[in-house]
Formats: sequence, C-alpha cells, structure tokens
Amino acid sequence: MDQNQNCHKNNEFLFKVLIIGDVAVGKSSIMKRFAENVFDRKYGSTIGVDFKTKKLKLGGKAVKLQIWDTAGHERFRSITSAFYRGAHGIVLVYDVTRMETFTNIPKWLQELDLQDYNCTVKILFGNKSDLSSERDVPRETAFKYADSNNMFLFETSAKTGNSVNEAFEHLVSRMLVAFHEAESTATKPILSGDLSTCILSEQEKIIAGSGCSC
Amino acid sequence: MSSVGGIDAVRVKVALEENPNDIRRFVIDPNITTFADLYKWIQRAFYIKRNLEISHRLSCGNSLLNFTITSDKDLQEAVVATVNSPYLELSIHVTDETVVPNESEDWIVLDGYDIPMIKDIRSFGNRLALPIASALRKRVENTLYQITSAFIDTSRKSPLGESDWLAHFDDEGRLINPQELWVIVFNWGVEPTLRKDVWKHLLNVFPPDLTEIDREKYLLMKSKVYWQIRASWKREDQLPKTEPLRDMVWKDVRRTDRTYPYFDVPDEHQRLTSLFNILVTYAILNPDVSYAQGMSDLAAPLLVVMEDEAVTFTCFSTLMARCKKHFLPDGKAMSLKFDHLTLLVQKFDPELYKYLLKVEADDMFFCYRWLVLDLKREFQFDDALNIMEAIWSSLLPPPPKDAPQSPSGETFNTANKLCNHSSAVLRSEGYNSLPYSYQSLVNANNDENFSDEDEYAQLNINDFGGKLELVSLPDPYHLGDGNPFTLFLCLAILILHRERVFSEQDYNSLASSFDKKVRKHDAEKVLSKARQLFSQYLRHCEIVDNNEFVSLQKPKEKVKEKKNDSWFDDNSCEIVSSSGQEIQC
Repeated sequence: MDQNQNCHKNNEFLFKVLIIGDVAVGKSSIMKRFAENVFDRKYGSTIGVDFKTKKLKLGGKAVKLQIWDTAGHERFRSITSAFYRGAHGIVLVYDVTRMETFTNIPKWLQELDLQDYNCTVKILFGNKSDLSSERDVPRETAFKYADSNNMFLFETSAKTGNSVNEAFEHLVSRMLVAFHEAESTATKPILSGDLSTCILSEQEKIIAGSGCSC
Repeated sequence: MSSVGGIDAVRVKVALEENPNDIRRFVIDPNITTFADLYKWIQRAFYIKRNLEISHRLSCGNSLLNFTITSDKDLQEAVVATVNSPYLELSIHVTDETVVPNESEDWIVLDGYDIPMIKDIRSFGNRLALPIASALRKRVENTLYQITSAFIDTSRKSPLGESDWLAHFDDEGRLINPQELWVIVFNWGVEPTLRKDVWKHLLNVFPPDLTEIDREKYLLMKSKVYWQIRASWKREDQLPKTEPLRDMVWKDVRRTDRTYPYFDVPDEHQRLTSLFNILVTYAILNPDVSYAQGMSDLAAPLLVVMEDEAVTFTCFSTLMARCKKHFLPDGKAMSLKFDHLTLLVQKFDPELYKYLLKVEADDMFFCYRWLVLDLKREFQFDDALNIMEAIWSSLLPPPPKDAPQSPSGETFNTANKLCNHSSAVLRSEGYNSLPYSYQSLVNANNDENFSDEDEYAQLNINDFGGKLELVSLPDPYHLGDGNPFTLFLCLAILILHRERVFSEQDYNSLASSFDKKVRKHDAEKVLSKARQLFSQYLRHCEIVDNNEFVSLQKPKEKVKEKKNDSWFDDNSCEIVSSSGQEIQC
C-alpha cells in the first residue's frame, strides 16, 4: 500500500491519515464529521479499520485525504497496526471527559515508535469538548503535554463539529510543509511523485521543532 | 397421476430380489409420484445405474403374488391394493448390465417431485388408522433421512414455514430429519416467526435427540445456571473486580444496533441491560476471550429473536463456541481466513485477484469486519438475520442418533456414497442445493465421539484432474477454518462488485468504496451468488468415483510448505500447514 507514489501528481496531493486512540473516544465520529459532516451517537464500534476519502483545497492546492479510522480495542491491534505503514499524518484522539484516555496517549505514541513512524506529522485531538460539565482532562495539562511533545492540540467536538475542520486543515498544512521541506532538502533531485518526498528530513525536524510537527 | 383414493402418503419397502435382506424404505405421495420417479428413486436408493424390473409383492392369503410394475397405472393399482397393508412392498430385479450414464456421469434429476414429509407418515397413520409402532416408525424415518435428503423440492420458493417445521418432529417432539431442515434453511431461509425455535436447533443448543419436554427442561436448567452466575458477579462485593470489563461492554452495548427498532429505546431500557448482562456473564465465564468489540453485534440479533435474556445467553454461548476464535488475541483464525479468502479469489476470479495484487489489496484486510462478524454489519439488520441463518445452516446439523455414523462397516460408506451421489445429481442440474456430502463430512468432522480417524479421513476429497488453473484449495473441513460458506459470501460480494473494484485506483479507495456499502448490500443477491459459488466449489470436492473413496492423508501427517506471508505471527505458517488436505483444482 504505497500511495507515496501518488503523493504528488499534477499539483494534487494525496495523504494517508491514520486516526488512533482509546475505545469510544470518538475516532469514527471525528472521521464522519470531517468527511461527511454528520454525527450519529449510535455509530457502532469500529471493527478493524474503516476507510474514508475526503478532498479539500488548501492554499490553492488540491489535497485528497485517505483517512483510516482504526479500532481502539486492544484486541484489534494486530490488524490495525498493519495499517500504520505509510501514513503521512496521525490523529491521536482522547476523550476530555475520561482522563485515562489522555494518559494512554504516550502508549499510542510508543505504538507508533514501534512501527517506526515517529517521523510522521502528528496531531492531538481532545474530543467531546462539548461536554464541558464532565470535563476530566484540564486544558492546561493537555496543552502542556502537547507542547512538550511537539504536537498541536485541538479540543474538538465531533458532535457539534467544533474545531474538527480547523484541526484537519492544520494537519494538512503541516503535511504540506513536511512535503515541501523534504522536497527542498532532499539530496537527490526530486521527480514528481518521488517516493522520498513525503518523508520528513532531519532538516525539517529542526525547523518544525519549535512548532508542532514531529 | 390423479388422486389415489385420498391417500397422500404410502410407505414403500423395496427389497433386492437377488438379496432380499438388502432393503430400502421410503415414503411417496402417490398423487404426484410417477412410475418414472419411483424408478429413479429406487436406482438412487440402491446406488445402481442399471436397468431394473420392479414388481409389487402382494400377500394374498398364504400365497405371495408378484405383479410387475411398468407404468403409472400399474403403480396406481399397486397403491390402491396396498391400502390395508403397512407397506407397499416392492421387489427389484436388475435386468441387465447396461450402464447408461449421461455425459456428465451424473443422473438426471426429475422435476416435480415433492419432499416425502414426515407429516405424511402421520396423516397416513391417522387416516388409515394403522397402528404403527413408534420404534418401527423411527426406523423408517431414519432410513428416510438418508434417502429423502435427495428429494428436496428444488422448486420451492418460500422459506421454512410452520408446517414444514412441525413435520420435522416425531410424536414426542424429537427433531427428525434435521439435514433436510438445514438444507431448506440454507436455500430458502426461515419464516421470521419461527426463528425463536428454529435458531436454537441451528445453533445446536440442544444435545441431539431430546424430546420436546426434555428440551424445555434443558433450557430451564441452562437458564437457571445463567441466573446464578449473573447473580454472583452482580454481588456488591464482586462488582469492583469487573469494573473495567463492564465499562468496556457498556460502551459498546449503548451503540449496538441502536437504529434498529428493538434497540431504539432509552439507555436505561431493560433490553440494553439484558444485552449488557449477557456479554458480561459470557466474558466472566470465558476469560480466554473475555469481551471483544464485535461480540455485541453477534449477541444483539439473538436477543431480538429470543426475547429472553437467559435463553439468549445460552444461544450466544453456542454461537461463540465457533466464533470465539475470531476474537482471540493470537489472530490465528483470522489469519487463516484471510489466506483462504485470497485463495478463493485467486481461483474463482483470477482477473480480480490480479487487480487486488496490483493495488496491494490481496491481503484482504479490508474484509476484516466481514470475516470477524460473519458479515453481520454488511447488511441491514433484518437481512443480516437471513445471512446468519444461512451460515449456520451451512454448518453441521446434529448427527442423528441412529444415523449411520459408525466408523466401521459398509453402512457408513454406502450411506455416504448415496449422499454424495444425490448431491452430485442435484448440483449437476444446476440446483443451488446444499450438498449432503459436505454436510455429512462436516458431521463426521465435528463429532467428538468420532474416534476412528482413519475412517473419517477416507470420507474425504479427491482431486479432479487439473482441468483448471492449478490452485490449491483446502477441503470444506478446513476452508475458512471449518466455516467455508462465510468465505463464499465474501467472495460473492467481491465478485458482484468487481467492476467497482476495477475502477478504484488504490487500496484506500477500494476499501472505502466497500465501506460505503456497509449495511447496504443486497442480501438476496449476495446469498444466491454465494450459494452458486459454494456449489461450484463443492462440486469440485465431490467424490466422483462411484466405487472408491479416495483416501486422504490425515492433517497431522501432512506437512505442506506454504509461504509465510501472514501478518500475524510466525506460527501462522504452522496453521496453514495444519489446514492439511488440499484440493487441486
């Protein structure tokens, strides 16, 4: 599944984005909100991986996102991790009303490390922000954590749609930056659709270090 | 034939003239049975292809008369003459050695026959006031079981209805001729109102051969045990132990099939609580699998149908006995299913397979949910019920107690030959019938008491001569880890959407195009395509040879190398090896 080949064609970009996080934090709801602008509380649990495609224009660039919504259940880890390969962006989701889903984020990062994708653009979603009375994860704690891990954090609500699009747009812009940085710093001349173009370079990491990328 | 004196069932006893001890018994409906029907049936019953002379043996005082039957009229007269006898006694004589095979070597199926129903025996008994000893009836019925299975009415359109269902019980409510039932359900489904009863049998909830009263007692006992276990984990001092489990289960229960009217109720509703209790109790009793996402999907339809928490639990437990492998963390069963599904696509649609290779989707991971949940999520809830019962009926019916399952002796082989051949007949005529050969094979395979492995291995499959592309397919014992039909449902979906697949440029678009079809597949189309493909596969598994069962090596003796391309773990190689016998097709 190497869509890197298609990563950049005729000024169109194709990125693979993975959504991971604990059970019932709202991964599928986020995907559905973003891809179809709908919300359904009764959406069943994800078994394995669900797939959606979303096209958007950002800064004059046409971007196609392949979104892979994975099951949060430990039991499906063997299959879901098989899909990690080749992801350009990772959306890590926790539930602001359940602290344990937030404290598990490092475990998810570790999971990615194991898969050797610590170089992909990562973004943190604190979902269910509409349930303010049930909030369990303080904003400050979360932002501090995100900062120290060079990730951008968005508190989102798939239910109301709050910040979902913004968060994804931010992710896309980060992936575009990563793409261009890699292109300009690559040692070899880049041909359109070159494999290496979507992988972040060391140089880019330093540039991105102060910001929100990996 | 015109109506024969109001008689709607006649019991027939046929003996071979050359060997009067070789006897077959079955029931015919004289109103619709032609002489030609009878002739073919007798040929099949004795597994002979030669020409026959059939004569009616009639006791008349102390003497025995023989009348040759050569026409419908003769048969009609014989029936009328038998009205006061327990049987229509026939004797057959093989007249010549001419084997008149069709090109296909298979026999021709006659149209317009009906299933000799057990209810017919009853009405026969009642109407003619013939005292039939129940032991005798049982013997007749067991013989029937072997023979009638060949005579399923392939032209029927309707699902299993109440009269069909009731006809499958004896006076004390023992299930009889389950194989025929399974075939009807497999091909035509079940009337929704009957599901509550039929499903318990399809799921093999009961030990075989229980009377209706015994079954009630059995369920009651099971329910009692359930309530006890439930009460034990609900005790105040025990609750903290299960908190994470209960948390997890509840998260899924509150989002399982909530758009379906039955579950379209407030969160606190008893129905949701019941589903929750069932899953928690199961998880506690089965710590190896505990609870995994997806189980709620399997339990929900059972609760909707059974409408009783404890009974649902019992049904769910038997269903999970087969399905729990899907949820085990080692992923071995799933790995095997992926491999086999890939093989099937390769075999049945090489072009599609090539395309999947091209977009690197030949791992079939995008079918994961299909396989884990036996496709329950791919269809509308009501359609999923049809799919589920088709899958269950494609599996083993309980082995009848008196059926020839003895691992030794001629009877067993003869019975299986008969079954094999009958199914070959049906299928070669293009009927979508479930082959009995497979059913009886599965029976043997799953019967734990079935100790003699040599015999069982003999009942297996032959190769059919390299006519097709050389792709090895596992036999029905092993294909899909013993549940081959689910794979054929997946295959059917893939093939029905092959054009759409070809239009997708990459893995993701391909997978998401199938995701768009979640709960939207046409169950009827998929089922009918799957049956057709399954038949095709089983035809290849058929033992075509009339005389010999081709012996296959036992799985444990056969170590086959297979590429270890599985994504789960290194052990998967072993599993593929243990899948053992393969069919070259």
